[in-house]
Amino acid sequence: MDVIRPTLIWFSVMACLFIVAARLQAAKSITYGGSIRLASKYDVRSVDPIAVENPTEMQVVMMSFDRLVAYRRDGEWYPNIASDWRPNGNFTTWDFQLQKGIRFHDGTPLRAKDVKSSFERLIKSGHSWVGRYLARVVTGAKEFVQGEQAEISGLVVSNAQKISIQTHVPQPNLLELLALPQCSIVKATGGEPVSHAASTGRKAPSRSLVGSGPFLISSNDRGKLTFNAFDFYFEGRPFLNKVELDYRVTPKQQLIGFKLGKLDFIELALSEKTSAERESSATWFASPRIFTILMGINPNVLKSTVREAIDKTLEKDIILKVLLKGEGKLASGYFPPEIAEFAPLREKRVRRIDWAQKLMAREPQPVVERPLSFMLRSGDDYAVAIAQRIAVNLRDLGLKAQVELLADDVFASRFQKGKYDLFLDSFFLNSLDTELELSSFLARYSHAITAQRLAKANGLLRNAEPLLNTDERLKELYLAEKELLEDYTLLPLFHINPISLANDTLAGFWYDPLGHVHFEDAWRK
Amino acid sequence: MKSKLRWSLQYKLLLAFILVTVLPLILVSYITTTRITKQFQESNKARIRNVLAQAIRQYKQYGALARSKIDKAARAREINDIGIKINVSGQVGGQSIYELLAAEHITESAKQVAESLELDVFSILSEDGTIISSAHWPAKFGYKNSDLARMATAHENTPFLIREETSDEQFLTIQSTRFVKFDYGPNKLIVAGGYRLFSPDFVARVQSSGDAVVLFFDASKQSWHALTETDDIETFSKQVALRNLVDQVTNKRGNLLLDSEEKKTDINLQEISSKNHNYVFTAIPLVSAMNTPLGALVIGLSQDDVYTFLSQMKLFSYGAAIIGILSAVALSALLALRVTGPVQKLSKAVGSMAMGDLDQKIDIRSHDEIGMLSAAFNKMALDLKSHREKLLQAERVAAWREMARRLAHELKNPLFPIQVSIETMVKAEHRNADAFQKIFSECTRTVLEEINSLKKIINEFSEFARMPRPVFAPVSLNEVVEQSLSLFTNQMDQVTLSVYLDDGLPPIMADKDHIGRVIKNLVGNALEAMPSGGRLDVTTHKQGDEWVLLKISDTGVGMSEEAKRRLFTPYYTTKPRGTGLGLAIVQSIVADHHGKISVQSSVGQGTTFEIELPRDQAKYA
Repeated sequence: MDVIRPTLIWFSVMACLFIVAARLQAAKSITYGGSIRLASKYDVRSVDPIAVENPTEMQVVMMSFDRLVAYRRDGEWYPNIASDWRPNGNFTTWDFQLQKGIRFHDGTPLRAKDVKSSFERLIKSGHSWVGRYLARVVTGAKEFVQGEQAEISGLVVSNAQKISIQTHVPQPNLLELLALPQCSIVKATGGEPVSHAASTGRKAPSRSLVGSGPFLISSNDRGKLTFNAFDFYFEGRPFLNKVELDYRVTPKQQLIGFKLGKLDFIELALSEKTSAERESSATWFASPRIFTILMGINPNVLKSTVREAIDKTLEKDIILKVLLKGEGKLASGYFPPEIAEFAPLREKRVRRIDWAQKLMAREPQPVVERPLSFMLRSGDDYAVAIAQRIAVNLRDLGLKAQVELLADDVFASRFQKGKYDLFLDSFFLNSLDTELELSSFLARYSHAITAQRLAKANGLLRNAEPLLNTDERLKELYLAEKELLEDYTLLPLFHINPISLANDTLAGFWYDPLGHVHFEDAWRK
Repeated sequence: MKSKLRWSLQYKLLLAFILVTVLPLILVSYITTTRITKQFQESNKARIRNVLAQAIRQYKQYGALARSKIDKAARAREINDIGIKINVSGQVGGQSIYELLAAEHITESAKQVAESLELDVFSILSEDGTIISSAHWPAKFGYKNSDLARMATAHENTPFLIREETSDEQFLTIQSTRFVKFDYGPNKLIVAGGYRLFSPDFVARVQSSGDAVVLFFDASKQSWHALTETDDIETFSKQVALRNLVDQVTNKRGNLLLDSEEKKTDINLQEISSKNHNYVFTAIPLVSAMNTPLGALVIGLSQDDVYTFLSQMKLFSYGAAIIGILSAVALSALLALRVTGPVQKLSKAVGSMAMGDLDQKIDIRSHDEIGMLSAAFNKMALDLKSHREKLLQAERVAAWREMARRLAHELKNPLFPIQVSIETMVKAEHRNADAFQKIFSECTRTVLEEINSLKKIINEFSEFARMPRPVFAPVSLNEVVEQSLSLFTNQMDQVTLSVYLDDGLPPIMADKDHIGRVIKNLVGNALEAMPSGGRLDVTTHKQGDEWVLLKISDTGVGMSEEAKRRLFTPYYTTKPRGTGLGLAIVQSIVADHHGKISVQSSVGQGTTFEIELPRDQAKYA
């Protein structure tokens, strides 16, 4: 962590230097009012904090809900709902003092019991890996989930402004977890947990889910979410009156919309970067949000030897150089060096075609009669070109792959059921903590890993949890990741920073270290 | 026999009419159908020749177009830009290409050129064949395509067929290739591109000239692919004949792209049926620039319309022929009836006349030969009737005269003794009583005897006149014979009777009393002919299935020829006290039974009567 934070601080500072300078320059002209229009290629299937999955859903939650703590622009923690926090000596009890005067969007005051009920709701739902993590570590959570206790004994509300979180294993990085969107605070009368599946109707958020964030969702219809500024936000009303978010818009359509002046803030495809650079009225930003592109191989279809051969035949360096124009880093593990300090220790996984062909020679030919199904998420602009090149590489092993672009839900369904041969996916940085990140990773990809390796990795992860010594923890996590890498079911390819394009008339927005954009301080020039 | 002859004449006439009318109809129908079918086959052949010509033209046009587009591509800005870069950087091929590609956004260059020139496939390669940019398979950059490099060297600016590949599919293309030189340095580029051979546009153009089914036989995979919509691809792919067609054209034709003119050879055709459809197929061989067979473009034209038309035409033609034939038969029958009707009437009238019915008259409706014949017949019938009536009248008069003569004669014979007896009694009136009494007794006895004789004669005449009509019933002739013979038992003292009755004699339809009378009469005659005794043979026989024979033979005095000739004439008798009606009655009874009677007799030798009777007299009525 000692290394991570300075790195992130540096990155965030560099990334936002221009904005800060511009803001200072324009400080005198800051005015309330106006609206902005954003776009995202991702779907927004839920705005319930416990059910969010993709970056856009998280962004929406970050705008309309608050958490106990949050990242500052410089990567440090800043008080959000909690004005102060204090762990005990062995990091098993964390006391949080809540700020006074915080109100939910319906005007009711936010109190410690709302915090407790929000965590209980998260833990009970079991939808999110965060909830499952907390269920495992928070004292009394297990009994609560099993229905043996009416409340979680480890969540202790002392008064309206104070709550303690008690865990049975040390949690030195609990703040990392509590800053995640899933840990957003929902009004205590927030009702039953809203499952992800149940919330896919693209309706306006349930009125029972009341948050306290800087913006409140006023409508969600036909691919468009509209936020209005929350006048009583505890840190002050946002400058903008309204933020509109068009979701499920391809990067190409976004760029067209941007050029036509209909969008102010878009995601940019790497292939369009050159074009974006030529835009005179725009500024492009490399988001601090890091995601890892990885390739999955179904172990039930292709044996370990073949999987390893595939790993050895991929021209990752060429893909990065030519297709991604160097916008990213070759991945030797699943997590970028920014959060996994051991990442540089990994062997660089470059093409070794001779080795790959030797491995394949051991297998009876043909390995598979049919073309392999190579599934991608349809909105992923990076994926198609990469998958096509991988398909070319696979031909060197005598394997044919047919790229299939699938909608998110179809992709998820087939992935869950193991109905794929190959897939390409993007794994977003969820946390700045390696252990949490590995938990998140395992929660997401447990279906794709062979049972033996998964058990070993989970065992190593459990070993790491009680360790307070950073080096010892990292060693266990290193070994856990190694188990996964040697399974060759999930091949890490690249770590990428997505690029955004912002209209020059937009100022004051900023990224936190997890890559969420904050518009509460943004304004129209 | 008459009926058979009549039918035969009608039949012959009918046959003649049918032959005259039906044969030409069938002939015309057959010739028309055959001619039209042949015409259609020729026209169909011309259609498929057009489709084939269109396909070959299209094939060549694509080649020519590819060549001209590649010439343009060589001058494209994107190519020039890459040319500058490879000459400035010195990155000319192999791994060094990646440095160029990493530094520049040129992986999309081929796509941009292909889009602007509307090419289906386009590649930019370094001199050694390394792909710098590929429009149809952008991910293939950095890999080598030695085939295209070889084509550029060996067949620059000449269209050729080549198999191209993407991640998803393999397909045939018509491409052209050329080297591009630059002023900035020695490094050259190869540009190659063209069209998918079986693009929808190509297929549509081929199909438009005949609504054809277009198939591709892939020689490398030995598989069939439908380029146009068809449900029959499975059926086609299993057709050995279609495969043979491909082999034939592959062996026969060279590289069509290289042929300056279309060869004027006969096209290979193959008719194929699938499910409910019929096609005629032809094929174009597809050969690479290296003369390797790549497969064949197989074009089929549906024959359904033609077959439907031909079958409808045949149906109509044969239908018309059948209707014509039926009409002709009906008309022929009508004509035959018209012609043979009067002849039949004439024939019938003649037949009736032959049977004795002279009241025949035929209606004369025409004045032709038949009409004249009918008039002559009518006149002849009238004449015959008149003559017969006259003859009958004469015969009747003669019969009455004969009868009167006979009656007078018969009556005169007893009258004379009566007259003599009465005259004797008158003369004896004056004699003494004893003498008178004696004479009176003798005379009265004689008178009474003669009166009895007169009575007998009158009775016989009366009986002959009152001859009852026979009543037919099944009768056993043998039984009748036995019963009749039993009446003569007392009179056969001096006669040897031999009776030979056939046990298998069937019953006959006869009047038992009449037949008994015949037997009694003949047996009585026989006994009278043998006053000093002799031999009497009575025999019955079965003659065939339909007749029985009764034979009565005696060894009596026999008859002279004159007696035999007049034997059955009424009132003719050789006996001193016979009436001459006995055998006349016998003949009459035999005739009533539609039988036959014959007699053989020689004086002093005896007489034999043979009577043949039908089992069922009604059949011979």
